[in-house]
Amino acid sequence: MKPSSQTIFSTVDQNITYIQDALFHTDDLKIRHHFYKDMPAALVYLESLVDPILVERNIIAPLRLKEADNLSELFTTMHLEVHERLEDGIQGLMQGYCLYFVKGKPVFYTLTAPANYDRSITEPENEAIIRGAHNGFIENLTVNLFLLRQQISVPDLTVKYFNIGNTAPRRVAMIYMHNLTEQELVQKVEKRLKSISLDAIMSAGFIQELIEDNPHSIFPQHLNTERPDHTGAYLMDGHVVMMLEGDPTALIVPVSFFAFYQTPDDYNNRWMIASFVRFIRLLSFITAFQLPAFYIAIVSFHSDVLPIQLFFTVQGSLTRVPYPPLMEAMLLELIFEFLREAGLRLPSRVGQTIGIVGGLVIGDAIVKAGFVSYTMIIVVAMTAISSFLIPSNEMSSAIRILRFPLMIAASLFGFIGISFGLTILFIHLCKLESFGKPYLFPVAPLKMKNFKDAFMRFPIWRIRKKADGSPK
Amino acid sequence: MAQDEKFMSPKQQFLFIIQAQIGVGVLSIPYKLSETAKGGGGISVIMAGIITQIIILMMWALMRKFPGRNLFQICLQLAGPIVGRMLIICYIGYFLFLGANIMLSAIEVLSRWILQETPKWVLLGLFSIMTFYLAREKLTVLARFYSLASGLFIPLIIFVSYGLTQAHIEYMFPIMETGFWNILRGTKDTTNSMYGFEVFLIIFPFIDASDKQKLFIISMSNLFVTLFYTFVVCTCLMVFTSDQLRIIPEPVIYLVKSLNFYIFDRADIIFLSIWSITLVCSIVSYCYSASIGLSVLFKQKNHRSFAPYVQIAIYFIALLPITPITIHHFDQMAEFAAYLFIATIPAVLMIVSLFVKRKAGRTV
Repeated sequence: MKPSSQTIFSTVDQNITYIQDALFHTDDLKIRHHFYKDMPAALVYLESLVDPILVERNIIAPLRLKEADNLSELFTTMHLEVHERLEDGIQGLMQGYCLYFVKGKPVFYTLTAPANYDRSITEPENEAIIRGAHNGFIENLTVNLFLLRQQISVPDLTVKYFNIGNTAPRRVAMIYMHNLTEQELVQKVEKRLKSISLDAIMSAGFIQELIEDNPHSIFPQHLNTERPDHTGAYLMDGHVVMMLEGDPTALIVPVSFFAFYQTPDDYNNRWMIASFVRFIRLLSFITAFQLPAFYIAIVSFHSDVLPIQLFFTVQGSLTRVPYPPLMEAMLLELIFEFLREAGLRLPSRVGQTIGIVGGLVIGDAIVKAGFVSYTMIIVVAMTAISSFLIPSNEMSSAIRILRFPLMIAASLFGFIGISFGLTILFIHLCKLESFGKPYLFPVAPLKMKNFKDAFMRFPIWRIRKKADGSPK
Repeated sequence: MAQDEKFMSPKQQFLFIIQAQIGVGVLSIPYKLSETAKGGGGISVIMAGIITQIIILMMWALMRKFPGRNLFQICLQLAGPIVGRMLIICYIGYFLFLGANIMLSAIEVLSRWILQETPKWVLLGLFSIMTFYLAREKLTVLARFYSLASGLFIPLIIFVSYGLTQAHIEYMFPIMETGFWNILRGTKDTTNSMYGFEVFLIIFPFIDASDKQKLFIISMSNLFVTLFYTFVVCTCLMVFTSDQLRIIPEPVIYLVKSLNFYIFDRADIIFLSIWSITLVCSIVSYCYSASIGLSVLFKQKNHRSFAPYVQIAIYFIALLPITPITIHHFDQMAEFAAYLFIATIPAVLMIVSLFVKRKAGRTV
């Protein structure tokens, strides 16, 4: 679609016909004819985008009540612009503007009367916290920016808009603190955003995948959140936030691995408790993908690692199982993945059925039937629980997938296989960078100073003292 | 952060050298020393550390004369394009050979203790994949991984220290049992566990520190490694009698195996699994050095494209020796190669550099 530069026609009807043609005679285009100072005039708008009460109050009523030479003084809408090019008008129609044409005037007016059907600012369901602010981003960029500005009311907070998408452009806001963020980082984000060349951006996930450093990695390199307080905290730490119009997700870059293990709750708890909880979560990183592999390695290779009493217990439950441990584990892990995926989109009342069928029926029957051993059920259940401990959904999915290759490695080479898998995994993590920042910061490269907020949650005055702009 | 991305920090250098240095050798030092030094094994190790320190001083003296250059570039500059290139090729060969040697010793130990049935080529393949995956990365990534892997020393040291509960200090005495000469001979057996610090010749220009700091840090690494070895040797000497030691080729693993941790048995399996990760670091140092050498030789900016060839070469060199005797020869060759490439050639280069100092100063 090549933008032409058709200027306004002299008669109202000509203008209307042009606009109707340009919009392919769509039915929600409303045209209200009337006379202004005995001249034919018309108000044009898309009824789906416009609030009729606002139109009535701010545009029609003033026109009826009085007359003025300068129409700009008459309307009581929030915005009023004067245009000559009809293309600008069509662009405006798409954004919820009304166009007002009067015969004989060389210009037309664009007036705002946007409809607002936003959902209210509620707490995001998958990021609920116990204490702290209970608001969340919604599908309206302006409201989201309002939420951020309300938190950080300083002139430092800078917003830059980009229109991304060739056919159906959508607004993306890049938000950062001017004095706290490295200029280099801002430029990098800006460059990558500008380099996106796509017909349309459907969701924030598109942006994420198009601008990240290593799209072939299993690990998320943007932090996604719908919480304004979480976003605000990262802004204050010198990160850059991207938000897409119509999407409640804030994309935060750069992030380190440990950011996915932090929640806003950590800072509302007492520091010792928060440290303990964070430690538990990081422990779950290990158990979530290593436990089944570890178990497989032990029962199929190194049963002599077990103390003798435990060995008999495990062996006792294994003797009735016809399959090798890897098959056993794969079977159970698959069942678990099925149940998880099935339960994900079901309404909660039906979801309980899944719990009963999955947990009680399958869990118990599968052992009685002799497909898997009790110990394997314990191991898989532990793994499942650990994987849900991770606050970030993307990270949790990444780690759930990792357990499969590790299980295979363990079944082939025992502990050496696990060492192999872990080495490859950690080399990969060392390699990863999020917008030029090392992913495993502060562990690799080592910065003991920043351990205070990675593994533990030190008292706030200890963490905040060194505000040197380095990422958390 | 963004600016020093090309360099590694002094802390990373410290851990880098340690990781490169501690290899498969330490597992069998006490056994080797039981032939010669016996109770004085600890002294042998310390003397090996001192000799290493002297070599390090010499290398440092060489490197500081050529700021911003690594060993290969110095070879080219000092020995001219033809001899220099020959030297580089020799060094690449040396790095390949030593990398293969470590890999071979590593899988020998692993197949003896854990994976008896697994074919050798499969294990070598596993190690090659791990090494390759890391060696083709830039130095900062290596440094990150090395410092991460250094955390693994903590359980390793705990395992060995736990052996002290069974120690009988009288086993170690008399320290000078075999006389000073034998302790010196023991030193020779220990030196080949010290290799690895020569990677210093390659990473020297990429450390974010002053020359003096660099020297201090590498000395600290050497000190740490020497003390660690001394500790391991003394522990073994205290736990096993010299008669026992003579028939146990890998006393450290044997020591760990005999320990009872209550929550798990056979600690040696866990010990070796952790150990194999630190071994990867040692191999990677050689693999990385060899690829850097190739990139200098072919005047390429990036070593990434050479890493696969290096890895394939190491894999096949490690496949060559089959019988225990050839493996032993392999070890001996590595030892002599190290004398030549770590001590002799850098010494010659340094002496040469003393004479052409002025010329070099102009070109730099």
